[in-house]
Amino acid sequence: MLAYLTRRAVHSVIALTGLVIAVFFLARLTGDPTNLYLPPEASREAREEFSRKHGFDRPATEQFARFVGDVLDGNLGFSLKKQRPAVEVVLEAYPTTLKLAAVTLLIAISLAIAVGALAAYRPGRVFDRVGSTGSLIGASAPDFWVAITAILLFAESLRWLPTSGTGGFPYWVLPVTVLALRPFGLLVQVVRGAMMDALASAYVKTARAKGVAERSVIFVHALRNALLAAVTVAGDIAVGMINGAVIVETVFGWPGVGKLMIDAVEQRDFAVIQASIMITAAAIFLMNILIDLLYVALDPRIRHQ
Amino acid sequence: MPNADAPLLEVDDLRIEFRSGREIVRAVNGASFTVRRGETTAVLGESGSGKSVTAAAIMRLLASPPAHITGGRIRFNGADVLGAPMAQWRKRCGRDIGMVFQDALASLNPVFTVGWQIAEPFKAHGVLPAKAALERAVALLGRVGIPEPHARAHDYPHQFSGGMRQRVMIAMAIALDPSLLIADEPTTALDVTVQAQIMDLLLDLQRERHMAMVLITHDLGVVAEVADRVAVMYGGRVVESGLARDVLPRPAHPYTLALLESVPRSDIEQQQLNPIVGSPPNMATLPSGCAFHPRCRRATSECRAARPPTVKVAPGHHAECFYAQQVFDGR
Ligand SMILES: Nc1ncnc2c1ncn2[C@@H]1O[C@H](COP(=O)(O)OP(=O)(O)O)[C@@H](O)[C@H]1O
Ligand SMILES: [Mg+2]
Repeated sequence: MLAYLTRRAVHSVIALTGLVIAVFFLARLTGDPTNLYLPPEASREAREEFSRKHGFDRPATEQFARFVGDVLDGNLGFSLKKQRPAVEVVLEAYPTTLKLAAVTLLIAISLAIAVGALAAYRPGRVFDRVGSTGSLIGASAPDFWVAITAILLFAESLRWLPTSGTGGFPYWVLPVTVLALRPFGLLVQVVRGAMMDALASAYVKTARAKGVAERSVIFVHALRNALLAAVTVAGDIAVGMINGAVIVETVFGWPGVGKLMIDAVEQRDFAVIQASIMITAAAIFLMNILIDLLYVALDPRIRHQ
Repeated sequence: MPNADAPLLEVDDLRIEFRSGREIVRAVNGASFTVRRGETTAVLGESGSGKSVTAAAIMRLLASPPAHITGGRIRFNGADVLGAPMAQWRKRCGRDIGMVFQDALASLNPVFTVGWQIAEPFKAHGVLPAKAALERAVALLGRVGIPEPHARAHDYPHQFSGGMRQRVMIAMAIALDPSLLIADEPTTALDVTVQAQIMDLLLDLQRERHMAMVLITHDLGVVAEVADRVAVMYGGRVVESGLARDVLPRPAHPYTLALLESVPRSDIEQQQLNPIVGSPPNMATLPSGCAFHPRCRRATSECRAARPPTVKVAPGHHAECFYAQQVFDGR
């Protein structure tokens, strides 16, 4: 277990280092933030003073060395925009994103399990065809396009739902639906395939031969095995949720980490970009470990290896 | 209450085909046999002759599609099996009929403990609540010869050896004291040394509980030892049936004769082994007339042209062959 955790951690740190280097230098290619933060009429001295204070006057490699030193000291930098430590800004935005992600996942997972299981039970029937085609579209439709179309249709034309912002139930409908579409589609495919295998398995025959009611055959014997397959794509889904959150939050003005990242890029708030990426990477690392533990908990064959 | 002499299970002219695309595999082509209370009926025949499909049809475990039951009747305790509503039939499964499959590893659910799986029939049939059911499961594990049943009940199937897993399957199948146990090659997947132990266990349980048993097997030695009746299948039909003590020493069908000469037997002296020439028929393109004719030493043009009648060579001893009487008389 310890060896496994160490291996995972080492891999993550290597990947994260590469990512942070790329982000650090790419961000600086977007230009000097000085012009964004000082009024056009600001004096040359004021500009130089700003640059010097934040280290932007130094070569990028030197800035990077300093950044690495700070990170190792546990300091993720200072937000130019908010004038507060970047860590605080990022951690403040997280609960909003997590709430959105949790609600979305809960809905996507439970719906996908129900749809995938029922589609597999009678393959080729109407429900299966509609479910399979729908999930394929859901899994492949671009988030951005879906988000914009949804806004145009339900918010602009029909005026059923608010275009953006946060608040009560109506504010959740579009972001959650758009964000749920892809994980839902992917999971339906996985659950359907795994359920077809499980329902054709010998152990399902045994359960029927014992007189187990069909409901339990499907939702206990078969589904419990099919869930193993679903957990194998959980990591992909988690990463997909983060990508999706960036788009959905930006389009729907949802004040979470996704929107924070995009805003930070626009505002060249370098520390916030870096901090949100590093914290998100740490979150993905933790999530992957949780997923692995879940898999171990679900599959006794692995538990006893 | 059905009369005690009435057959427990009657399979009558059963026909089953598998349809996939344009091909039709006629797996069972009018199989008939009877099982009486407390008796063991051995079903013999080469691999592919329709034994497992017949057993699955009795339990109504065949998935349709691809399987289609195109004819025949199955009666259990006098009641129609195939026509009963599925939910109602399911209540008989496990309670009145238990089934042991060949591949215990695949047939046990990998993610539940064996204790839970053995306890399940009690719960599914509303016989006992979960806790009491688990206690019964532990007792059953002990009964089928699993050491330390209390501890082992919490283990998963992959933590058992092949023989122990088959014991678990047996415990599950007999949990509710069924009046019929169908065992589909229960020992084929096991080591030779373990095979005899499992067979002994099955026989002990059968006697102890007065169960009837349908034993699908390749092992003619076992058949000679334990079977009251035999049904020999070829090409999806029962080509010979009768009491084991009548059929085995004096078969009336050339296929049964060939089968008896082709396998080593522990029960009699054999001069030499004569493997059956040719290969089992393709069930999608069965030969005309008698399905065995391409491999039969006695085959004549008659055998190619028409299906032979069922000949009664002795009371309760039937064979489906134009020359049954000659074979029976050793001519
Ligand atoms: N699911 C299936 N689909 C198509 N053909 C099948 C299926 N199951 C069995 N069969 C065919 O039915 C025939 C009888 O099979 P089976 O009853 O398993 O033979 P055995 O006597 O060895 O138990 C075989 O030809 C087999 O190929
Ligand atoms: Mg078989």
